[in-house]
Amino acid sequence: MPGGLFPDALLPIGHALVGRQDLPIPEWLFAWGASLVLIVSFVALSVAWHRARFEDDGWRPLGPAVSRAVVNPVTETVAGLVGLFLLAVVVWSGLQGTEAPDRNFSVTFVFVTAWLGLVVASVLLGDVFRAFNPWRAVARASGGVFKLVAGQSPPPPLRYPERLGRWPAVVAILAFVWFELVYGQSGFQTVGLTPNSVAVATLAYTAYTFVATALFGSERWLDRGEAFSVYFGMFSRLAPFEVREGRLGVRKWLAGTTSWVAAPGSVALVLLTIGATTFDGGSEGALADPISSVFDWLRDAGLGPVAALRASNTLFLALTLAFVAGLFWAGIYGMHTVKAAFSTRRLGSLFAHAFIPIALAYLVAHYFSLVVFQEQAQFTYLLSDPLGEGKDYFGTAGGGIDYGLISATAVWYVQVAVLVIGHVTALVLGHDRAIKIYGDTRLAARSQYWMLALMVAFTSLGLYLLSQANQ
Amino acid sequence: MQSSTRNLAIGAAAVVLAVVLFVVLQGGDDNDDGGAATTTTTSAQPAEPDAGGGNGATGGNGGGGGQEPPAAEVAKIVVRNGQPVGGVQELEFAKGDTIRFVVASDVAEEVHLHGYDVAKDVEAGGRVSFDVSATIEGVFEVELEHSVVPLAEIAVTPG
Repeated sequence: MPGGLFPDALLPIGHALVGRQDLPIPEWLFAWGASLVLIVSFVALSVAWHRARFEDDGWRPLGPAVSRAVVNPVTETVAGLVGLFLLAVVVWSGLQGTEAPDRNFSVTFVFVTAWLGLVVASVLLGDVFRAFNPWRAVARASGGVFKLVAGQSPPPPLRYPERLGRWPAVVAILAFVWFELVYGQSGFQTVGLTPNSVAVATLAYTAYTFVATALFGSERWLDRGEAFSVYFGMFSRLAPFEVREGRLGVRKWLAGTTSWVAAPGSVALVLLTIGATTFDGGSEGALADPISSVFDWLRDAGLGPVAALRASNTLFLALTLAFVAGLFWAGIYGMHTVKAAFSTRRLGSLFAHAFIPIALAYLVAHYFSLVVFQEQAQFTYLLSDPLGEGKDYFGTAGGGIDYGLISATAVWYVQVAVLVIGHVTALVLGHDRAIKIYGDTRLAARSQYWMLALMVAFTSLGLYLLSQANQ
Repeated sequence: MQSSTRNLAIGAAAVVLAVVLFVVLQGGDDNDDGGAATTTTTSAQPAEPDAGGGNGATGGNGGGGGQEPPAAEVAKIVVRNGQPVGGVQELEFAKGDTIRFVVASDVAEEVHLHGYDVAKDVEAGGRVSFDVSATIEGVFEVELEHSVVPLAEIAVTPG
């Protein structure tokens, strides 16, 4: 490991909060994981089915009583108020509370409970963030008041430019990720990810969202531009539950993804999710040495330590995103040679949804232990003492994190299992899409050799990152 | 008919490839296991060069020479001007062993072993030793608590 000037432990968000980091997966498990990936890939090739199974999600409404019990004006209002209340607590604790990131409600709530927890909730239960979205709640309430006073809802002043698609959300998620992984890197006395900066960023994003919803109309903006609605919405497509026209219904697992990528920017969002996790994992292991070299070089060139750290991390975040995107498009380009009827770009958006499970697998593999540990803090001392000033509202302030709750071996098994499951799921979705668009089974199979190579590459990269973690 | 033959061929290829891959990667692991075993039995070993370097560096400060024997057995972290000499050390212990290291500091600080949550004060020019039973697996940071300077990373591997 490098010494000298470099603050060695690049301390990303996980380090700022949690006292225990994951051990790298041992080689025997790496071997098992890689072998399993190859076996399931070949099995997937040999058991190829001939009719698309997921292209129709088969949504059907649940009984009206069940639906009404879950989706009704009371639950909508309560959920909206809960979301708004939690947003207020984040800002309040961020501005008023201790500056120690691990003792302040805001940091853990935003970066662990909401940012990671809502991914899990979305995958299992559907688009729950829509109900709890504080910005949507405010937009709906103000729209309601306006309608009451003026008698009708006015059309939004601007038409949302459709060719922007989901790009505004992609840009905002990139900003969030940069804030978390680059700006927020600690390791110096000046810790970037202070509760105060979290509160300020939250207020800025809130103002931005209100302006945008006022200009483009809340439903349109929430569907396309509001970063967190779009991000969690992407993961909710894996879930078997969806509300349509106010009615709760069930659909096939995974099938909701097949209609997701139509809008521009969607491919970028999937790749950004994979790339950001790759960077976070890589900066703790595989990328630590190159980052420190650039850091030393920038220091020698006269940059201050904080600026040098942020500049080198920004560079490697950009390189990682470019690498992930390059890998994806190279694989898609190869597939493009199978039949000329689709352009490379079109194929990219036709198959991008198959990578959502891989993005999910990366997130779970990388952040599983962080969530297990930090949620103990969320529901003990951060709940009773959100400002970190010695209060005990609910009698849980004395609680703490039991780092012995899961063994290193259990973490390893979860990490490898989730990558393999994500890989299989991605193969299934890819094969299904190929059958639909090529019609011909032979062409579909040939196109899937490329898809297979691409997915093996991503899953192997995930395993490699785990094997290099915190070394 | 043809496609079932093809499927069989692919299946056979998969099994062969997987076995080969597993043997190759496992083989690498066996060698490594040996390495890991030696590092575990002499858990202070990996830290020695660093600790030695630290000692050598402090040697210039005078008075470091007499400390040689304990430094060879227990990892020693020397803090000069509030920074660890030789950078952040990586120490490895097996679960069930005892995490042992010594911090000698020229500044008054609090040394915090995260995760295990053991914190000890050290005076300027003083030293403090840690002797903690390795019960939790994972990678843990040793930090100068007030100045947020990382000193070492302690890896506790499954025993």
